[in-house]
Amino acid sequence: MSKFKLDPSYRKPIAYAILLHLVFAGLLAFTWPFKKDRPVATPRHVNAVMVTEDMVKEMLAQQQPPQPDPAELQRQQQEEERRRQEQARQEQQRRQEQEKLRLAEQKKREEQKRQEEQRKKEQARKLAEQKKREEQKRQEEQKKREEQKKQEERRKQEEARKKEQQRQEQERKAREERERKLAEEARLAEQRLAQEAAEAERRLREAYEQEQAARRNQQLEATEQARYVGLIQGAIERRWIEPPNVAPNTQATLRIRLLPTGELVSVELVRSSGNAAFDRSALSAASAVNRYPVPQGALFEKFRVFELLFNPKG
Amino acid sequence: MIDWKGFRMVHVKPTWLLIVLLGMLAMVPARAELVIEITQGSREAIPVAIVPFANRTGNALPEDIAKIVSDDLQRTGQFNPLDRGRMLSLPSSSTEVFFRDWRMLGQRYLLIGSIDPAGPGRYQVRAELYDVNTSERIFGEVVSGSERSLRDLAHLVSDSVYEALTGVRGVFSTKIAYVTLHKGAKGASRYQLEVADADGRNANVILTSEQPIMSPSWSPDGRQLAYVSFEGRRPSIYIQEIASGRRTKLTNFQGLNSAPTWSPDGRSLAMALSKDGNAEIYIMDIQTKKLERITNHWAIDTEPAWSPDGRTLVFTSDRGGGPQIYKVDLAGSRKETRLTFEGNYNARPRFSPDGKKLYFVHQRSGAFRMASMELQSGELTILSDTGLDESPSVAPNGSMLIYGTSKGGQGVLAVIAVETGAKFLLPSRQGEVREPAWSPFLN
Repeated sequence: MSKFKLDPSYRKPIAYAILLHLVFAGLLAFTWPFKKDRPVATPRHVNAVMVTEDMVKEMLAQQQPPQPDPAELQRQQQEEERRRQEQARQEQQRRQEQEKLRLAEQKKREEQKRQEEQRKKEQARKLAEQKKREEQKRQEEQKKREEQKKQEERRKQEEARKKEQQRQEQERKAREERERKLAEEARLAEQRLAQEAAEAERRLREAYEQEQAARRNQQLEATEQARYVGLIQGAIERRWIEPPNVAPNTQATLRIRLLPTGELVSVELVRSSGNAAFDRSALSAASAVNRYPVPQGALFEKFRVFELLFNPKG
Repeated sequence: MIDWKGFRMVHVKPTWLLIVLLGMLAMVPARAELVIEITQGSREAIPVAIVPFANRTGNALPEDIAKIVSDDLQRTGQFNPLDRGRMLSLPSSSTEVFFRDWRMLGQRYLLIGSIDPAGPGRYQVRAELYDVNTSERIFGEVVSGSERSLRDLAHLVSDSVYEALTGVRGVFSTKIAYVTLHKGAKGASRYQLEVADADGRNANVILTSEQPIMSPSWSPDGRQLAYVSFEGRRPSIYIQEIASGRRTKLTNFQGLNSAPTWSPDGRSLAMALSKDGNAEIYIMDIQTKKLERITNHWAIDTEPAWSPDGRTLVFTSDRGGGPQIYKVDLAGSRKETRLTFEGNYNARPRFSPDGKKLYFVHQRSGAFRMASMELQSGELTILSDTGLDESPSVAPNGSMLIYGTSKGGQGVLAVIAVETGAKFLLPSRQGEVREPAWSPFLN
């Protein structure tokens, strides 16, 4: 409510409006009929008597008894005719009077109605005017508010725009930074790749050389290994007394552990043949070798732990 | 911060995990060892030191247990017992054993033991076998018996050693039956049916006759012998219970009554009879004495022998001109098939216990020799090098073959170790010895 503080510029129009209302109110107070019916002035020359048919008949009956003489009768008839005409004329006149009156009355009511309507119209007009003014006022206020709102929005937009500008600026800077970094990284990566390629090539060359050497070694080793495998086979086969009556495909596997000197650390049956005597003969043979023929140096590792598969053929 | 999204991405199905794990496991042995394959060993006799068993009985004993074991093993050809004179020590318990000494002597196994008293007249033999190279005890066992059974106890130890080192059940506790002939001063003959230990010792005479005794055959339970005796002037087949001496005359047909052999189920005897004309093979139900004729041929059919499964008979027939070996399928068609084609003379067949081989007498270059034939391949091997070999009989473990041969004009018994080819003669006795039959396992 306090929001509707009257703007000083509205004071004058409001005062005028009130004054105008008062004037109208005054006028209306004097002219208003206040419902008190004024006596209707009936014209003196009209004295209407209510004549009904019965009355006429009675009257006629009262007049019946004298025997009419034809002249008289005629006269009377004439008279009667004349009187009837007169009566009709009066009736007519009365009716006209009444009609006149009714018309006047009607006219008056219409006038009143017209005035009333006019008044209503006036009032409506005033109301409309007032409404219009209020509407105008409201619109103005609305307009003003909208204006304010617009301004606010403009201000906000401006702010947002500035912020956006700032953000874009920052982004741009960040992007530039990122790009710079990426470029740096790419440069470094390229450098690294080049280094790695060089390294890989070097390694490859080394590996190749190593492989060549290894192959030579391997060949040597393989020959050496084969030689020692043969020696061990011989040593075992000389000592292995193959049991008789062994079922075909009888196999036993032993695991042999040696010292670098070729001395036996342990013999262990890792897969039994299922024939205890066969297993025993194998264990005994492997244990019977006092010193296994083994290579010196790195190749010994192959012989540190190995398996002996006893697999007689026939 | 942990990036759980990243973790979800490496989520792996358990199946895959398992496969990977298995793969890794499979790779473990793959990187493993060098495998050296040994495809042949020597067939030399196993060097074994059999130390004289310590006598703790306080008495002088009639038998040398270690010597009996040593002889048993040596005869197989599969063992080479150490000469006692070379032993550096004579241990009888594990604490006295220095394996290095035995290793130095090149021994593989060491048998030690003792004989202890076990009540009045009874002894206990304790034996332990060691692996010299691994220093492990292979077995220790205790057997006991009377003084008279010391040889049996020794043979039991031999069986244990043999089985431990060859994987095959020993036959040292089995028996042999054979026939001896003693010629008297005035030309009178005395035939004897004897049963002895497998080493030829401990002989017991179970029948004496002035007329020939032939073809002893063991019942599968080792309690009875079937044989042919001419004691009634003509041949008859008898069954005799060894323990009681109770005997039953089974056949007394016209003509030939010969070569009884016991079926593996012990219920029947296969034999050769000539009651219907010439010699044919018959099977007799021992209980009912009902005969079933198996062969019907104008030629001589004789010397039947059962396959170990009892479904086949092999026999000798001269239907091909000379004696050859045939077989007849008892279960099926009764079709007779010739098995031997090499040489002019193949006779007296016997199956190996695994049913894969036949042993028989084979004549080559005028000499009669022991031969074996692989039934599947038909491959024939000559086993003996003597000249008048007869009546092969196979030990129940299949490792040895006993047969009759001739030495110095005398019939003697010889044994061939089938695997090693080792041969030995059983101790010579007075007179002729012939027609040996090896018993089944008796214990």
